[in-house]
Amino acid sequence: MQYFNPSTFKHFSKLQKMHSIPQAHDLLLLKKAQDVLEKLAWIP
Amino acid sequence: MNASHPESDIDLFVVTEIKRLWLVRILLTLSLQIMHARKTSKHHAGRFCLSFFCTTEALDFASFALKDDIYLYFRIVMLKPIINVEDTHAQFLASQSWADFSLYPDIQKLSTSFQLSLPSKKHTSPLTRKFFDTLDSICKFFFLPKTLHHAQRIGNPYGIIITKHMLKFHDDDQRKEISEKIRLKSECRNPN
Repeated sequence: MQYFNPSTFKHFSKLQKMHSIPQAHDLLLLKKAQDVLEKLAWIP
Repeated sequence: MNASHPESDIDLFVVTEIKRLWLVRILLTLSLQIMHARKTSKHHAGRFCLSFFCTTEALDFASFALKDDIYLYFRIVMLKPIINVEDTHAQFLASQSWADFSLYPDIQKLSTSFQLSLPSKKHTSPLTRKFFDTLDSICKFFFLPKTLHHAQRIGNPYGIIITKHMLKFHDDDQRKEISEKIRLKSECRNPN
């Protein structure tokens, strides 16, 4: 396996900016995930 | 992050202890099914996709990372731990031997805001552990053949991994296509 250094990737900085901040719908899904998983924390 | 839309589902990545892979998979599947929160072919918006389980023995994704796997890289960077027992998220990040994550020194700090505060794990007696080990073996006995058969039926695509420590069911894994698209774009813009 060749070691991957993403900074050598040509579009890395562009991808970094695109993915940096969660948007409103991301936050809605995260809230839903929290609500459901909280109920399932008993699973061993 | 910054890629979801109203039709998006929630992809869960579940890390279990050793000898809990199958038991956790079955219990989680049943529970989400009962709660009508599991993704189906007809309903997927806001529902959970149970496509990725591994034990603490398989945290290093070097075992299946592709060459220059930018898609997998960002999946790891953007992953948000909701339940983080015994700081598994830190162990997970530290285990990645195939890529340089030092460009994101704040991954953990930025992720903690989404974590649930749950009571710390109770000590499990050896007898209880043995009981859960047996349950896990029973689940594996019944569901492994079915899972292997399904993978074979759809042609064993590279996104499906079924091992002792990992169950990955990304039958529409598009990492190769995405990497190729980015590489071609890059070549068009920089022909030399």
